[in-house]
Amino acid sequence: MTVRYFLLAVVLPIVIGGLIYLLFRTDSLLMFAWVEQLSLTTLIDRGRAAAAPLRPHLPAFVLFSVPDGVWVFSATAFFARLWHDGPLWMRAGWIGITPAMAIGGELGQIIGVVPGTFDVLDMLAYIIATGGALWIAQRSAAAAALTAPTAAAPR
Amino acid sequence: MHQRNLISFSALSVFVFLAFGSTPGVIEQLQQSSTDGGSAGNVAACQAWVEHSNSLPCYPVNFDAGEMCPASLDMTPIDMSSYYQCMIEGTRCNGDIPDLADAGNCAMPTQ
Repeated sequence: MTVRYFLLAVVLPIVIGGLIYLLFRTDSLLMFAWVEQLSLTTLIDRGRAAAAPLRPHLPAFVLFSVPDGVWVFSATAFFARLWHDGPLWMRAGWIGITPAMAIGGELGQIIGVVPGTFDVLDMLAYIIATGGALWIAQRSAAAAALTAPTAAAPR
Repeated sequence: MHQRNLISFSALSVFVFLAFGSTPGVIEQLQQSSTDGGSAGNVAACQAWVEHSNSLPCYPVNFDAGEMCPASLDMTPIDMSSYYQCMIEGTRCNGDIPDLADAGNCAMPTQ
């Protein structure tokens, strides 16, 4: 896994999701307690004030489904790249764990074993995120295989 | 293989930790305190619900927390934090339309 891949496919989505939460969502979330502990409350408050005019223009999908989707994307992209050449059962297990948690949690809301309300847009975000992450990881692995030096080239 | 498993478990821990950041922390703390027998968190729980509602882009009006959550809420012996938690979870947008279907099922505790 290259640093570029890690930053663009793993860190950046998490940062984007975090910013959506911090700038546009209710400040009763646990992450705001972390922000306070890091003494970043003033900075975040300024960011929320600056971003407030944008909020009415953002679709609900962006505000409520994308942050969870990018979390699935980030984790799936990380595990898919890390295990791209691993044994099939290990690869499947690690790559599938976060989509399974997200999609399973959403399905659990239908039958009432998980708190919250089932949202088809959340489910859509998870599926798109999983597919997108697998595609990115596949492309990255293929590119790495093309540029890798051949191990035992005949002289 | 072992190293990759170790990295994977560590990464999974980080991802799960980050996911907890999007949970309603204030309400969780209120629920925790409510198990100790107090109901002094009713106003704060109500304010969290008001803030949640005001943060929804589909809501045409802004609730006034001072009006919606009077100090008298903390004078009642009834713990209402679970009610406001239910209201937070049940108040959402369905596209541009407020979706209160689940919030309507939240029952105000009576004892």
